[in-house]
Amino acid sequence: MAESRGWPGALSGVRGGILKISLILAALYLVVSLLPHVFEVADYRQFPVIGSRVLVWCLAQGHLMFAGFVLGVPIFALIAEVMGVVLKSERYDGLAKDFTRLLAMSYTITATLGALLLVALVALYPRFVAHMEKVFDPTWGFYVAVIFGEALFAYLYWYTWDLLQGSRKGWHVFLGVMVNVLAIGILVITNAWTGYMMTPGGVEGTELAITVTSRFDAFVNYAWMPLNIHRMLANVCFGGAIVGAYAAFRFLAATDDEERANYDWMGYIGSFIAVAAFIPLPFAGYYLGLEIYSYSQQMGVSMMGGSFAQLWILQAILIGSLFLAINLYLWLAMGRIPGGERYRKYQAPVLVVLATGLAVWATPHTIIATFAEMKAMGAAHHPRLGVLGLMSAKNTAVNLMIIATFITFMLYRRGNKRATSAFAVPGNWIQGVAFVAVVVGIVWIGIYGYFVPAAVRVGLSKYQPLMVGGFMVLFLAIEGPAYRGAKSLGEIRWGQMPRISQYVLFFLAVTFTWLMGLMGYIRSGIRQHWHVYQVMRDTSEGAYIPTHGFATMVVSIIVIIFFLFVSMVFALAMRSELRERRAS
Amino acid sequence: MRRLALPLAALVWVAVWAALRFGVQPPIPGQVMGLYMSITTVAILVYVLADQERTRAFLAPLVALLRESHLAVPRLGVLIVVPLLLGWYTYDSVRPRFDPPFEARTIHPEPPASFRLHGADFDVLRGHRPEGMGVNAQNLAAGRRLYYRNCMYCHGDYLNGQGHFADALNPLPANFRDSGTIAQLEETYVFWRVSTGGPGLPDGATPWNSSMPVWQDFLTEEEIWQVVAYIYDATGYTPRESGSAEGH
Amino acid sequence: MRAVFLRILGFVILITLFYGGIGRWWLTQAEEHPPPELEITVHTDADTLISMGRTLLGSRGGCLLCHKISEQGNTRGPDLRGVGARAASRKPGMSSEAYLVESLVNPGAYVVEEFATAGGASIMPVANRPPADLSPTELKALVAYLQSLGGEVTVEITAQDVAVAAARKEPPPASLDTHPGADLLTQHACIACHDVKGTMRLVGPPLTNVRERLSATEIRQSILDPDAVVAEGFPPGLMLKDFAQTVPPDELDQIVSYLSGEVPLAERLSHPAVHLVALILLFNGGVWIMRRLALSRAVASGEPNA
Repeated sequence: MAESRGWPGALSGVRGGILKISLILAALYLVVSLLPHVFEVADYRQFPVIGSRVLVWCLAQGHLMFAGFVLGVPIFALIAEVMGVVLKSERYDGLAKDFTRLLAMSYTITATLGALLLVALVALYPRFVAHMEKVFDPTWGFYVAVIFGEALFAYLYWYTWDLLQGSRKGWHVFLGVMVNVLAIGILVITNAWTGYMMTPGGVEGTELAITVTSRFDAFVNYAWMPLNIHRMLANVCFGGAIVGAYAAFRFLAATDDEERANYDWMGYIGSFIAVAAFIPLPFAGYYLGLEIYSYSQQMGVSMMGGSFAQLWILQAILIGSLFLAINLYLWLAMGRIPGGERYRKYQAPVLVVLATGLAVWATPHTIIATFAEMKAMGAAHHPRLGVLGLMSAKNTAVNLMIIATFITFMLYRRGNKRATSAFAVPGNWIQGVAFVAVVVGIVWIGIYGYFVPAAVRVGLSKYQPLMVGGFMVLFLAIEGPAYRGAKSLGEIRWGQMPRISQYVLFFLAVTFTWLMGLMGYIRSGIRQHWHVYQVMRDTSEGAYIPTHGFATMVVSIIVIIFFLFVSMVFALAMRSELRERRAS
Repeated sequence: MRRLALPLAALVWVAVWAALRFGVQPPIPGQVMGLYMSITTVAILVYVLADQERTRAFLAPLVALLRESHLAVPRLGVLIVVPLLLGWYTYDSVRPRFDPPFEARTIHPEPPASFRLHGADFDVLRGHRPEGMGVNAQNLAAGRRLYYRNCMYCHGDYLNGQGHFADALNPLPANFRDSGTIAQLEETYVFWRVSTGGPGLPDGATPWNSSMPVWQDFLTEEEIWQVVAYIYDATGYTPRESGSAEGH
Repeated sequence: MRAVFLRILGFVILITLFYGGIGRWWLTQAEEHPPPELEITVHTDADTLISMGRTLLGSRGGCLLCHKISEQGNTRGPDLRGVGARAASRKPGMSSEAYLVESLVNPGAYVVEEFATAGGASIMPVANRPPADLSPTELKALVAYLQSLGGEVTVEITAQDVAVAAARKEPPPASLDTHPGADLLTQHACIACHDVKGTMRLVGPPLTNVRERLSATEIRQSILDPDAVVAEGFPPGLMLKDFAQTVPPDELDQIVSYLSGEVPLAERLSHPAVHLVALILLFNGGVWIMRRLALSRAVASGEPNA
């Protein structure tokens, strides 16, 4: 990074960044084109000690996590920046810059991991790569162009932050928009490859003897759109969680109250973003699952009821932990709001809803029981609990958990306010009635689902989230006028958080990351012994489904390695901030 | 109230345990019970942590027990009892038992893409019920006759898996009235299970020791479809619609 | 700071291993292996043999490149529908199984008249040699399928067949050549008569060294008008003359480019390395120019530090 300031200095920074990406790509191309000359022709090659599969698994998941981070963060960095412009708040602008600081440090790691992944695939799975090349050849050049564009705009966005202020802020926001547009381009292209491997279309024939009948169908395959939506939301959510972890780290390491107050606030915003994107996520996941099921009954059953069924118990535990942690964080945060103690009495009922919901969600469809227990139940399904094992009950539970968390958040917002508006009392009543109505409605749909055919039930399940969404909109619409001109009971005491709350933020980040690793494994694993489902068979040594224990341990190791890399990003960000402060 | 955080927490835990243990019949299997009690424990801990004063009040008796000199006798008691409890737990979990081991059975393993039916391939994923094998009076009558001649002995005359032989079987016969069995599945799936029986099951969820016969050895393709039509009609369920995977 | 870092790292590892531990010690553990590849043994029943034979017919056997088993298909060789019935009566005193085996391993022994070449020879490659390279058991599976087309299946696998099949070494992996021309050679059945692996002599001249013998223009001519120039040692009139009609022009271009090694300029420019270099130059150059402009402007306005 050049020491000179102004435009030339900023552009030196951009030049350095682009040069780095160029070098990585050029080296990648050279290595990949040299590989076939180094090795003899083979379908597969073995990587020593850990095996090819685990190596590619780790690289792919690690690359995906960093990619998710660098694609997710610009979305809310831009939103924070725009909020700063709209609210004329320098604080939000500083926050957006802090987000972007993390971003600028992550591009190189993302690109390096991606390059390593590609080299590993070409070296270890040449036959598979040859297949993908046949189908997707034209998209690759385009992909590289988009990566360059993304890097260019991202570095420009970062290095011109202080230059494009004031009247020129519009140009900076434009740069931010471009970063996001290209980021979505990257996401959409890679999702086409992943989606094709799961739900291929547009090709005839099998293995390497394929003809591409329609490249459009291969690209816009069954899983493509659900993957786009699901991953976009998950990226924002994940980005928010990691940013929250960064803030928590800075909070814990802070030496003065001002710094603590600032990072307390940043952690709050980060976790807020994570939660806001997290709430629609289960529905996006449900949509993805439905599309997979309708593409192939075999894949759907394998995912939900077959080999991978038990991992959903683990998934329920993870998501339940997230809900509990989010609520715990908000309650701890209410401790630093004057007047927050008024809402303490709601903690117990919310917890009862969350715990019950979690219990329903985690109740396995197929219960593992001893023979004596099975005899007592009279079947492999428990006559009472079996009811809880089905989708209807689980959808109902998750919707109620979302509502409970939403209520906690609204109480947090009310924390230091005492309503004075005349509308407050009737408003509160409407909110209460709507709450009761929506809870009754959700439960009713859940129960009714047992008495109708599967197709109708699947159709019904979309009304629950619609009701939840409608309730949230109505609640917020009333909240505005009801608390207009509300009396403040005191300022929020930013920074006066118990240290444990920051560990809760870290818990959120780790759990999100682990969840991503687990779901990535399930999504990829349900192809079973196929590289490309029912088109190209996986005949390598790693074509089997490992034990759940093996898979979860690999996921754990990936998560730990990821956080070691992330700590590197944090360290770089802190150093760049220190340098900046010294320079001014 | 807040002063009593610890005893209240213990009381809630015991109350939940008692309600689940004695309030639900038949008893909840151990694995699920463990899951529920873990959730309860975590929920109580979250409640305790959610408020700093509450946390302090919760910890106060524990700290006092370990520190205060006038509590030396109870402290000694706890320090003896807790290790003993742990020892007993360890002993209990490793001592030899006569129960058969846990079985991770998957009730609905993933179907194969196709299987051999009377010497031809039947495509489970893209196949359809043949024309004329749907729900009509003739098929239902035939299906009912076939069901009571062949299936009833295990799956029961109420189709609830409580047939005469059910007590002798492990895994137990499927209960078609349970909303978690045929109501969740596509027709071709049920057709596959009936046709290939226990031996046709994939490795998916070992051990596969289902004693269901390979019905295609005894029944024609038409007869199997008639039985499938009958069990859906008799339980009032409709098969899951197959996805519109045409063109792919 | 280091204390905070270590404490958090410990916390992260703890949570991670907690989740991993649930998967490891609380869920049940089982590996699930893919179904084994079908292998033919003496116990393999006729139905399975037929189904495997059908698969070979369309895949490695390459039979459908010239024969057909439905209304649509190629007509370079006889229609296989009903072949099971015809086989029994083709040669007096020869069983259908023996006749079908002979037709596969020695195609010239009996040639159906309308498909014979001018010299009365057969254009069919031998089935138990490359490119099809079927093992004795695979050959019998194929015969079983052919018999099932209108006749009675009499094939039986002997222990000797299995032993011979097992003794053959693993076939080398297919080349991973991704040039589209390589596929087109298969698609248009060129490889049925022309060797592309340098392993044996087939009906037509091998293509492995064709670029040393012929130029791109000559290759193109040989495809479109086979008898204009005939390779030494190979009889004229064998090669089909309808490639001008059946091969689309762009595919012909790719075949010629693949065989001759002469890459047209347009194709050379679409090479990925060219794209990559162009992109690298474009973006680095762009930023370089932008920086130059900014520098000169800074100098012009007399800014310090520039």
